[in-house]
Amino acid sequence: MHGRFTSLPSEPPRFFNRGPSPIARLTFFGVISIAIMFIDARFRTLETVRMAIATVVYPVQQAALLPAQMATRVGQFFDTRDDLRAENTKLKAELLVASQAQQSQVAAKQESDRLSKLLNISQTASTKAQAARVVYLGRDPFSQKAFVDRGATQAFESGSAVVDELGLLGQLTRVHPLFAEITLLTEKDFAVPVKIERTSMRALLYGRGPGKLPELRYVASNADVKEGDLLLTSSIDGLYPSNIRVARITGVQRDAESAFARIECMPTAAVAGAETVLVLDKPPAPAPRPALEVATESSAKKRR
Amino acid sequence: MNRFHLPDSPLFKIASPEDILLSAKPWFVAITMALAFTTNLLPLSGFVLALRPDFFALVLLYWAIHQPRWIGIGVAWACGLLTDVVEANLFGQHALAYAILGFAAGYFHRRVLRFPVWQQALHVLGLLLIAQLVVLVLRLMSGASPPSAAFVLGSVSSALLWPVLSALLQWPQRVRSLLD
Repeated sequence: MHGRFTSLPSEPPRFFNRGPSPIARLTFFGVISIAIMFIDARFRTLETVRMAIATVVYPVQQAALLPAQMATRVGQFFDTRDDLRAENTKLKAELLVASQAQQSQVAAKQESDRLSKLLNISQTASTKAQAARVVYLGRDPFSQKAFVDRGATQAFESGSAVVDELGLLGQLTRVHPLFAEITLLTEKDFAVPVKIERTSMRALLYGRGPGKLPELRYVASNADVKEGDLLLTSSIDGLYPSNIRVARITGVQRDAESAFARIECMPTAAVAGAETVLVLDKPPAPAPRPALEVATESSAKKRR
Repeated sequence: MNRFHLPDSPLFKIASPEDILLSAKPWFVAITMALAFTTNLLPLSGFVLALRPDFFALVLLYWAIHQPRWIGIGVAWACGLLTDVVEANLFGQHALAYAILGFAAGYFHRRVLRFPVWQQALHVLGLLLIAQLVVLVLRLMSGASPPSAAFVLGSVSSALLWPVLSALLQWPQRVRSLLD
């Protein structure tokens, strides 16, 4: 009796029409998923769909934040006067230091303005910034993201630099109607053009993914790089304003086998713990490259 | 039998294979799924996040096993898309993983319910690990760096939660069955 008439336990005899078989359905949805993944990774044309779903789901995300917000509010209620006074004193001291630094900076800026006028260099206006609050960190274990809320009047632009009070955090990668997504500089293969403060040598800082420190790549073994050197943005890409702190070098390894040194860097910003951040406007577009002009000239000549 | 020290009343027991429960109300299924989705969005980070059970996948799996005619591959796929959007990662990876979960649940649903609840939890562990493996392979293929080994802890804690979740989700049906 066994064998010929038994079927798989999950496949009852088909008395009723129940649509396509599970295998067919799985194949259908599997193929759609893979197609979507391919389109998303290669062409980025699904951003509108993603944005629409994300906007609809945003209230639910806000609801999920409520318990934690309530907890902090209750905690704040019980902050003692002494705590607040101590914090106040500390902030006043910090303000004093900051204003002193700012005064010397103003003097230096006036000096440099005068000099650059003499040299007839077009001076870029100081960049504008908008404050935003980090609502939550990304949940994807493979990537390094943070999310900030966005007011109705805030005009964020995808690609702008995001900083906290200690240095560069990353870059806005997606701007949704109600919130925006920051890719942190520890994201794998996230590159920042930097210069070393001490020597003004230019280099590229690459993120290496969760749990790993970013590293400077393609720096020759014999280059003048020391532990403790500070890295600033070099503004060579026209994306980040110049001279923002990025990271500090924590270790330099020189191998005889490799032409490049292995240089690990520690971001100066509180990458995982930032609460309030500034979104900097993009600096004005750099002058077009001369090579491009040459190319168009030559093509124009050809046409003639 | 009373492995989880629930109070000794028929109201608090987990259904044994012989029990026949009333089927759940559609709105109850919808509400529990929405709640699980919201719970997944709690602002956790770091190790706690890795340890957090995937509530959404777990509830999805529960209903796909108990109500396979409502919650099947298509619904699971759509839930996966939602997860992808809120996690802001590769569009479609969870969709595929959850669709596979839905398929496996449909394939196993008659068999899984024959087992005592801790063996069901083992099945659930296997299914969730397969889903995580799918996500892992897809991400590594798209060039992400491998996550820490704590990545699998989520599946383990989800499986540990399965008995509690089963008791909770079948509670309304159990009460209604007793009242009838």
